[in-house]
Parts: sequence; C-alpha cells; structure tokens
Amino acid sequence: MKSFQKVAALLVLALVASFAVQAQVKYPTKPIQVIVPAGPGGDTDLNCRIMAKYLEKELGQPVIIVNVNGAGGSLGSRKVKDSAPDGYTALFFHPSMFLNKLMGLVDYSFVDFENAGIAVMDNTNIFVVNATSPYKNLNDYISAAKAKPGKVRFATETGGFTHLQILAFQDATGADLNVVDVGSAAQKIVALLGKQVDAIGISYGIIKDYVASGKFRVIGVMSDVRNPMIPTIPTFKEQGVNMSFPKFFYYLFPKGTPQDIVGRFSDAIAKVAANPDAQAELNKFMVSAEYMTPAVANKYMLEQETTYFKYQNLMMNAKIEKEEVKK
Amino acid sequence: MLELFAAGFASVFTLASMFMITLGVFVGIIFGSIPGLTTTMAVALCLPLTFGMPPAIAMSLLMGLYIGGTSGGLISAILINIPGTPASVATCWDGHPMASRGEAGKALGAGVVFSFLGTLLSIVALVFIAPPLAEFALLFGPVEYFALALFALTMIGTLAGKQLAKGIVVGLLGLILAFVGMAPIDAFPRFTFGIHDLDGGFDILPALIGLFAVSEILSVAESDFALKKENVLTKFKMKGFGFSVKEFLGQMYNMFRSALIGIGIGILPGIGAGTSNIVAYSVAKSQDKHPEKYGTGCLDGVVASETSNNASIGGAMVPLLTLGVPGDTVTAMILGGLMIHGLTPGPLLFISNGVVVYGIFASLIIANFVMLIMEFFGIRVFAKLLSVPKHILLPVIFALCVVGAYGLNNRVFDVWVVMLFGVIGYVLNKLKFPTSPMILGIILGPMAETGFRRGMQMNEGNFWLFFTRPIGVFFFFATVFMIVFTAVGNVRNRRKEEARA
Amino acid sequence: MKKKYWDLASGIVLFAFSIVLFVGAMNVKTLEVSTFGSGFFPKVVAVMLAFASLAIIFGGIKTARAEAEAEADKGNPRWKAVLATFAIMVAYAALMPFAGFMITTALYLFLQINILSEGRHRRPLLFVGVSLVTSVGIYYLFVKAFNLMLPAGILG
Repeated sequence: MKSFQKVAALLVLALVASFAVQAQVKYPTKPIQVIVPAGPGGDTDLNCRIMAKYLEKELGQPVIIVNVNGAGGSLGSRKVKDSAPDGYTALFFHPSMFLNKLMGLVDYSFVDFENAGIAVMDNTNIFVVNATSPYKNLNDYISAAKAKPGKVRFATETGGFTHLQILAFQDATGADLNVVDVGSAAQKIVALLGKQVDAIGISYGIIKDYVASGKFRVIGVMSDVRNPMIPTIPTFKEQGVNMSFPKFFYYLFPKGTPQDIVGRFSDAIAKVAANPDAQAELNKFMVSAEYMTPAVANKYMLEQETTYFKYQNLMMNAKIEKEEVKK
Repeated sequence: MLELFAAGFASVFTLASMFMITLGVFVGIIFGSIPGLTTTMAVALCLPLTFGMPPAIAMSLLMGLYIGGTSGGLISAILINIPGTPASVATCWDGHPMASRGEAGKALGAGVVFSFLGTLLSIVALVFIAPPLAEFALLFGPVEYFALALFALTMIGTLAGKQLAKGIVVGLLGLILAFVGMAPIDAFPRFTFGIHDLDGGFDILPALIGLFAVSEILSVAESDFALKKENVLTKFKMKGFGFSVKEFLGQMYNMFRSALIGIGIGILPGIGAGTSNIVAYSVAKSQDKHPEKYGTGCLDGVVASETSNNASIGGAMVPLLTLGVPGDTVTAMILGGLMIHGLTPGPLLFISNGVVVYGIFASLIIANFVMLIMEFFGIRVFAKLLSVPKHILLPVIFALCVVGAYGLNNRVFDVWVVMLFGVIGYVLNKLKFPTSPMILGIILGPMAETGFRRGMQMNEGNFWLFFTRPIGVFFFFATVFMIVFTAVGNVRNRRKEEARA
Repeated sequence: MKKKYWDLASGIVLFAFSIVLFVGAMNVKTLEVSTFGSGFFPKVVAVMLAFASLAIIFGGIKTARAEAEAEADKGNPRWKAVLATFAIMVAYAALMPFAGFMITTALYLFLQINILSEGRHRRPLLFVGVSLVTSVGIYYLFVKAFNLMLPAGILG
C-alpha cells in the first residue's frame, strides 16, 4: 500500500509539474522582428543577418531583420523601446547607443531595456591609412600630427564609434588632428582610396580585401591583446597608446518583457554562439561569436559606458576648439 | 577576358539561372510598375529567399529585379500619371500627356526600347571601363558633391520654364523640407519640434508618393473626371514598337547624352536613378531648341528620362563591384546580398571570384533582353490592367502605397508623411505652382549642405580652397552658366510675350 | 478669394514663412559654434525664399490688376469629395495601428471607391468584393510570402 501511494504521489507530482511547465508562456509562436538601427550591407546588418540565420533554427520561428536607419541609430533604438514587451521585437545594436545618449540625442540607455545578452564581439577596430602614405605605424602618424597640428586628417562619422575613438586617441597622445566627417563605412573607404583623408577608423572585416590587395595599411588595432584572427597587426597598447575599444553587439528587448521570454531568447543566442558553423561564418569577417549572459553583459556594458562618458566633454566641445583656433 | 566571359555566360545559361532571371525581371516589373513599391523593396524582400541558393543563381534573381524594377516604373507613369518608382518621375511629365493624346503606344514603346538601350550602354561601360570609371568616382570628395549638387539644383530653373519664380520657390520649399531631421555633421535634430519621429527627416519615397499619387487621387476626387467617359489612354494603336525609324534616329543624340548622365550619376555613391532621370530630362529640355514642348507630351522627355534611369544601373554597379561601395539604394541591398553569400565586392572580387563577376555581367545582359521582350508583349496587358476604372484602381494603388511607405521603416509615421506631401502637392497644383522642382530640392539639398560642411571641415574653414579642386571648379562654372542662361532665357521669353500681347 | 488674388496671397504667405524660417534657423542647436553651423544653410535658403516670394508678390500684383478673365472652370469642383477623401485617408492611417492593416484597408477601399464613383454606376457588391479581396490579398502576399511586417491589430 505504501509503495502504491508513493507511486501515485509521484505520478500526481509529475502531472502537476508538466502542467507547470506548460503553464509557462509558449515562445516563440510567431516570427520575431529584430530591428537593426543601421543600413543594409554594413557590419551591424551583416552580423545580425548571420546570427538570425542560426537563431531561426534554435527558436523554430523566422527571425526577420528590419533595417531602421537614421539619426545615428536612435530611430531604431527608440522604436524598440516603444514596442510592446511581448518578446517579438528586439534590438540588435552596439556601443553607438551609448554615444547617442552621450550626445544628448536620446535620454535612455541600455538599462532602460531588458538585456538578452551580448552575442558578437568585434575586436578589430583599427586605424587604416592608404598604402601610399608615409605612415608605417601609429607613431609615424602621431609625430606627423604633432609636427603639423590641425592639418593631418582623420575621417569619421560624427557621433559614431570611431568619433569617440579619435577623441580618446587625441586625448591619450596629445595629437591635434583635423577630424572630418565623411559618413558611413563605405564613404570612409572611398575617402581613403581617393586620398582625401590620411587615416580612417573602421572594422577590419570590411576592408580586408583592400589590405590583401595592398591598397590599405593597418597601423594599429584597439584591442587589449593582438587579435588572433589578424595576428600581424600590433595593438595600440603595444605602440604606447593606452586605448582599447571592443565593439560588442547585443540584443535588447523593451522594458517589461517577461524574464522567461528574454531567457529563452538568450539561451538561443548562447547555443548559436557555441555553434561552429555560426562561428566560422562570423570569423570570415574577423568577428567572433562570444556570448555573455544578461547579468554579465549588463555589468560589462556599464563599465564600457562609464569609459565613454569620460569623453563626453571632448565630444561636445571638440568642434568649438577647432573653429576658434582658425579665427 | 574572353574566357571569363565565356565562363560567366556558361554559368548563367543553366535552367535554374535563366528561370531566376526571368522571374526576377517579372517580379521587378510588377514592383516597379506599382506606385509605392520600389525596386529597393523588391530586392529587400527577395533577399532572404536567396539564402539557400548558390551565389550565381541568387545574383541572377537580383539582377533581374534591378532591371525589371527600374524600367517598370514607366508603365504607371505613362498610363496613370503616377511614377511607379522614383526613377520614373520625369517620365510622367511627357509620357502621360502623350497618353492623353492617344499616343500611349508610342510613349510605352519608346520607354521600353530606350530603357533597354540605356541599360545596354551602361553594361558596356561596366564591363569594359569599370576600373577607370571607379577611379574617376574616387575623385569626388565633398567639394565636388557640393558643386555637383549646386549644378543639379539649377535644373530647377529649367524645369520651371516660364514660371521661374514659382519654380524656384517650390525648389526652395523642397530644400527646406529636407532640413527637417538630423543636421549633417553635428547630428543634432533640426526643425523637429521635439517630435522624435521627425529625427530621421522625410524620406524621399513617402514624399514622392504623396506629391504624385495622393495629389492625383485628390484631384480625381475633385474633378468629375471619374464621371467622364474613359479612356483615350488605353485605346491606342501600336505598330511594332510604336514609333518610326525616323523618330528613333532623331533621338540618338538625346539617348547618348542621357545615358552618359545616367552612368555618371550612377557611378557616384549615394545618387542613382532617382536623380538621373530628372537631371537628364532637365538637360534635354535646356539644350533643346524648343523647350516649351517639354511637358506637353514630347518623345524627347520620355527618352531622356528612361534612358538615363536605366543607364544608372550599370553605373551603380561600377563602384559596387570594383570598390565594394554601393552606387545607390538598390546596390546597397545587393551589397548585403553579396556579403551574405560570402562574396566581398572590392578589389579582390575580380581576382578571386572572376567567374561570379562575369556571371553577373551575363545576367545583366540577359535580363535586359528578357525585360525588353516581356515589356513589349506586356504592353497590351498593362494597358488592360490599368484600364480598370479609376475609382477602383486609384484606391487600390493607395493601399499599395501605404504598404510601400510603411514597409520602408516599419512605422505608420511614414504614411502620415505621404499624406502631408499629398496635401502639399494638391495645394501647389491648385495654386498653379509646379511640383517637379520639389523633388530636386529634397534630394539635392542634403547633398549640397553635407558637401559644403564637410568640405569646410577638410579645408579647415577656408572656403576659397574649394576652388582648388578641378572637378569642383568645373561644376561651379557650369552652375553659374546655367543660372545666367536660365535668367537670360527667361527675360527673353518675357519680352517676347510682352511684344506679342 | 477670387482666383486672381491667389498669387499675391501666396507670395505674402511665403514671404512671411521665409522670415519665420530665418528666425528658426538662428535657434538651431549646433555642435560647432561657428558661422557655418547647422543654421547656415537654412538661413541662406530663407533669404533666397524671401527674394523669390517678393518676385511672386510683384507678379501677383500684376495678375490682380489685370482684367479678371473668365475662368473656365472644369465643371464643378467637388470639394466634398476632396475633403471626404482626405478624411478617410487620415482615419485609415490613424486606425491602422489599432485595428490592423486588413480591416482598415478593406474599409478604406470600400469608402474611397464609393467617394470616387459618386454619381456613377455603382456596384456595391463588386466594391465590397474588391475591398475584401484586395486587402486580404495584399496582407497575405506581403506578410506571409515576403515576411514584411504590417500592423496586426485585432484581426490582422
């Protein structure tokens, strides 16, 4: 009798437990939109599409990429922020969101969202010069800048990640460059090819063919240690410039999205990051799939954001100095 | 090169590839001919479908879409006075008046043939002189873009014709509307009144849809046209391609000039068919002995517009394939497509994936022919479709425009923009202001301002250094010349009229 | 207002607008505190607009003084139809996020077709049919086949 009662109790328990599991919201039951606050064909868009390909398999529902370009990415991030917190709209973005806040373009940051974790790491933020230029390494560039203050050109996109990098660079080295806005990655490539600027800041993956064909030369990478995928490039730190700017890509959900949904999505990201095929595809563009759980990601992103805010004054006042000197 | 060509063609002459090209052209024409749906959208929507395909097949589909879409716009432009895509705006101006006179067959035939020829000329340029063209495009820095934009803005004067002051006003209004949004360089919102949706400014597509489609619907609602008997438009005779050999030969100079403009604008990253059709039209008008005939239904207008917009296809592919930099919005999508298939366009593409590149060339050529054949035989079908009574056709088109506007950035705000511009277009029409200059203002305003401010940054605030760049100086002179030319012409016409009165 | 005064009126409105624009341009927030900030181009355009609108005012004065020509009206302009069209377009856009694309499109189509066909041979059944088929067709084509997102609302 006792054993029968035990079995019966276990069965009931199992039944109740299965109901409990089913009582959890079924997710996903329809396609998920991932908003990419950048134009098609850029590195953000590409990384997201590669991730989406594999996420679909893990989640069992289509993952649809929606490009919402404009206003430095703030149009896209704002859209997700205002979306229904049902887990079917997500944001895929990178450090530029912090810069939007830094410049006063938006008044929110990643803490105003639910973090699903970091998915992709890009440690290939480099400075590149045209191969015909006399700068063989960072120090050549710095010396030239110091010899002719305000004359040596660096191309960036105002308010973008590379803008922050160049301000940090000037701060760390004392070099005084002519920082010009040329726009997106494609426009930076054109400007450098046409020798309209002396150096640009960009991700390696986009210009790897130019390096291979001998048109461009990379003079430094902003990572803590040399990137194994581009081992011949010395880091900034090696060359005496204490700068490190990883570009990390993360997924955010609107605030209020249920934790188990965010968790489910996050687990999917983790699985994709561990998938060798996904890794291989991303590695082709010199970025890597590196998963950070929401908790770890939040801590990491807070650290990074604090670093950026150190440069807020520089960013807002940079232009003023330039113009006044000219007058 | 010959072996590569052979290999390229061989890779495309498979059943799968040919099917994809044909499908692409077909879908492209449909998207192109429906106002609100654009070539860019067609490529964007079909891109995910290509993920499972081998790269060559995927490219066949995309090239088909590109060519079909760019030329498809002429159909609705001519038959219902609404451009199917931004690339066919100028086609409305003479194409529709021709149709109203019963000459739709001629307009459509000419549009199709010259679209074909424009594409062909640009493909020739792409295949044979892509590298030097790309080198030339690299010479264009901010100063050159600024000068070029200024020059193109003077086309407003040509478009405005007699109504010079009104035309200038509308062009300026276009510039002003383009100011709304993030300022170039600083990225601070300008004239947004705190409305965050305006941070991105007004996209050209909803503006176009509003100015042309909505204002057309409102005018139709206003007039009792819908009540009148239809429809001279769709009852037209057509022999062959609709126009004579003599007329064809008469358009040769126009064709080559427009193709040149189309290719030139195409190779410059950031501007494409949407701009070239208007510029080519304006240039044709300004160089013509009888500019008054433009706008009343002259063949030259249609030829100029349709040759140049298709010529921008080959043009835009030049920087895409040689530099990895997209020449217009469609090629930006195609760039994404190439990269997802593991092909990085740029200096190494020709070397590492030569067969794919020549496969793309072959796809373009074949798609061009497919387009010609499909559109030729399809002209009757289109006419039939578009002879659906206006009171049913126009609402359906508006619904599709809503899809197109919403699909742009996934927000209803763009639909509101459509209606705002619809009202603007309607009011301008009522007050007898020309609407065509507004497009130029909206497209070229940002280009001019950005070029100016970046140029100032590069030259450290010294404007006079702008004049050290030869290409820039060329366009500055051209601008001044056009201004003088237009002003003199206007004064002369005014005197002629007063003498007559 | 008689038609002959329209040019003059529009010229004056435009001139006033150019002044507003100029003032607004002075208040544009810029990163660079310099002569060529984000307010520069708008100011230039405002000045050009002022001149152009003056030209229109002069032209408008001439037209107003001229003999009032008999305006050949193209039949009776149907203002109600224009307003109705505009009204349903506004309603369409406003309701779409709530009721979804399909419902609002079907309603819009039906109403718009009716507005445009006023006085003509109306075929209500056909109109209803077209409205339903078109809106459902578009929705399924774009959302299911192409995976484009359209506002879902209640029914979708």
